[in-house]
Amino acid sequence: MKKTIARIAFAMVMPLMVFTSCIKDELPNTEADILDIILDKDVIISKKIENERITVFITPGSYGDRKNIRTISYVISDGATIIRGNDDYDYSTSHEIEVMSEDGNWKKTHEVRILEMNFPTEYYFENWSENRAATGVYDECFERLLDDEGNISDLYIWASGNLGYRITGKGVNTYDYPTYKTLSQDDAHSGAYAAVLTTRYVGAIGQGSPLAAGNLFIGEFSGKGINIMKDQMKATRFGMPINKKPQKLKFWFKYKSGGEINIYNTAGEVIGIRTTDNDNSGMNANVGNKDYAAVYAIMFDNVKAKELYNSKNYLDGSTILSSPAEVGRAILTDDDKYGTPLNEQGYPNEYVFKELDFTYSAAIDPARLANYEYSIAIVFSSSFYGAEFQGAIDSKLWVDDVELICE
Amino acid sequence: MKKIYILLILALTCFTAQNVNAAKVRVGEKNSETTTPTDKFVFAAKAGFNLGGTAPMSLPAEIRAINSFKPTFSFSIAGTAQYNFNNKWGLQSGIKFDIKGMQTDASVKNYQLVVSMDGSTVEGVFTGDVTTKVHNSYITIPLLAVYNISPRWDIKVGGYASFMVDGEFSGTAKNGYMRDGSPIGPRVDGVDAVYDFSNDMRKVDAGVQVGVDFIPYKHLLISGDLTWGCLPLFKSDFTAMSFDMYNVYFNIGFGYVF
Repeated sequence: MKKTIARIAFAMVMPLMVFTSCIKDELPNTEADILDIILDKDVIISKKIENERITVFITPGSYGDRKNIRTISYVISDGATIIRGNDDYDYSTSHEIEVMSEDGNWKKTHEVRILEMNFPTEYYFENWSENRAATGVYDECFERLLDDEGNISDLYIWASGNLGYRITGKGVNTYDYPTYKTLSQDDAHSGAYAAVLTTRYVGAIGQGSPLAAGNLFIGEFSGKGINIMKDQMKATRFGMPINKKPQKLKFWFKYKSGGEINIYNTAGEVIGIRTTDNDNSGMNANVGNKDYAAVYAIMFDNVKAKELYNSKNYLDGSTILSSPAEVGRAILTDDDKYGTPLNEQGYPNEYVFKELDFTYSAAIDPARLANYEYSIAIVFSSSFYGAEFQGAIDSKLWVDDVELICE
Repeated sequence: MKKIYILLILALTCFTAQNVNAAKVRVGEKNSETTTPTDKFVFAAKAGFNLGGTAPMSLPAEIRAINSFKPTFSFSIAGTAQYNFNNKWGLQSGIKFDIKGMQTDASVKNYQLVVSMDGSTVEGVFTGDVTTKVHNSYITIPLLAVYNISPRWDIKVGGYASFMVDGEFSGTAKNGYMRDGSPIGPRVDGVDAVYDFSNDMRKVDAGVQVGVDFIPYKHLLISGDLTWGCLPLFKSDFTAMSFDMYNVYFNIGFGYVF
């Protein structure tokens, strides 16, 4: 009997050995990221490190014409190597750095831009690039500056939630995404393009947002250190440092509301409508409980933001309109935010011009302003409460020819 | 349920121990009968349990550590029929309803996975902790050559075919990050996702089976069978995981010989 048990026990253990034995040696790293950029001088005003694009804004004049920046260091993925772009020190224009992973199977080209911080104040939404991936392609908006010598600087100061929407796998074409460029020139106010923001339905989900409002803002959309699907409010990093004091925000827009402000649960079902009764934002004039557009610019003290938000010098979706770091704002409040004139087919064909004044709640210190200690966030969204998963599907905002008038 | 089976096994074990002497006597009788052919047909009813795993044949390098392995208690019931050609060789078949299941928790690096993260399907490579729960029920038909090595012991070699009645293969991906699409895709941190590949499993499994039957007492049968699946668990067009998995289970059965 003892033998039997021993034999059975042995035979039992045998298949288990398949699992417990032979953990193989760790494979070489497959990542090919640039994680950080370090300069020898303390001149970085703002740094935006994305998956394939790095934009660093430096104090003007700190590296001359930027044609020979030899003191730049890259922090890259463990074991990875830079295989292209490291023997050329000309950063006066876009610079490509190609990184190969430790295992040699993956290569990624990063566009690196070291730009002097001359914050543009006119935005015509004429420059768009396509971010291509296996799951789809989406539009990204940037500003292009030309210096006296004709050098091009592409400034990716605008961000949108398209990256998050891409991960849902629901976007195939650019116009399936919440934020994209106009498809027809007729739909732009001037030039070839305008920005179109549309509120999309994402669907039944666990804890993320069932709704994706189209948005376009100055700052960065990043999933670093957070769950991008769950914490979308934290993925929107609003604001970039500015050394001018804005007075007015001018823009052309048209808007069509998708209907009532639906409140969604996490299963993607409509569970109610936002009315003045359950709205404590003070922003809702309650025109038929209609979804409305968000257009605002917030000026804030980025040093104070850093103190308030755990070393983060930006505002996010949960703090953008309620931060003690705010010093001034310009916001669209009149009833045009519920919709602009429609033609006979029910299409908003007329752009409406707006000029919003900044109202300041705190004094701006000129010395600190010159030192880039204030940031500006200009925000457009097709659903005002999009960040709270509330809005109407197909609410659509077109924006073009935006200008920030500064002192 | 679990308790009932444990009790059953304990009872059978005690019963066996008490009857060893009686069995010896009967085996002695059986020995003396070797010159005359044994029963042409022998029927048995068995109940038992499966221990083992649904696993890759060797662990892929993406799996860095097995944090826990829990062979879930999976019962089986079977009816077998054995045809004896002579007093040495026979052929055994039957029908078995069995459950093959396990739970694992593994640390992985660059593990290819398709997960459902907050309702969205994300395909990419994951680094972090992956838990897996397998709970598959099959109707199994074994076909075994039986060789009688001693009056009490039979060894069996053959194969089996299984048809899935119901299957679950699901789990979670947590405490880590995912690179969307490939290792150079955008990084998604704070992943707390689930996956469910239940519908991607093959409805059939087939493999080899080796085992022993031990008859300590005239009507009591204790069997041990290793079943090793030769068909990958998932359909050939399934790409959400980068390696094939197989059913490898050991069945311990207690039966009544009619």
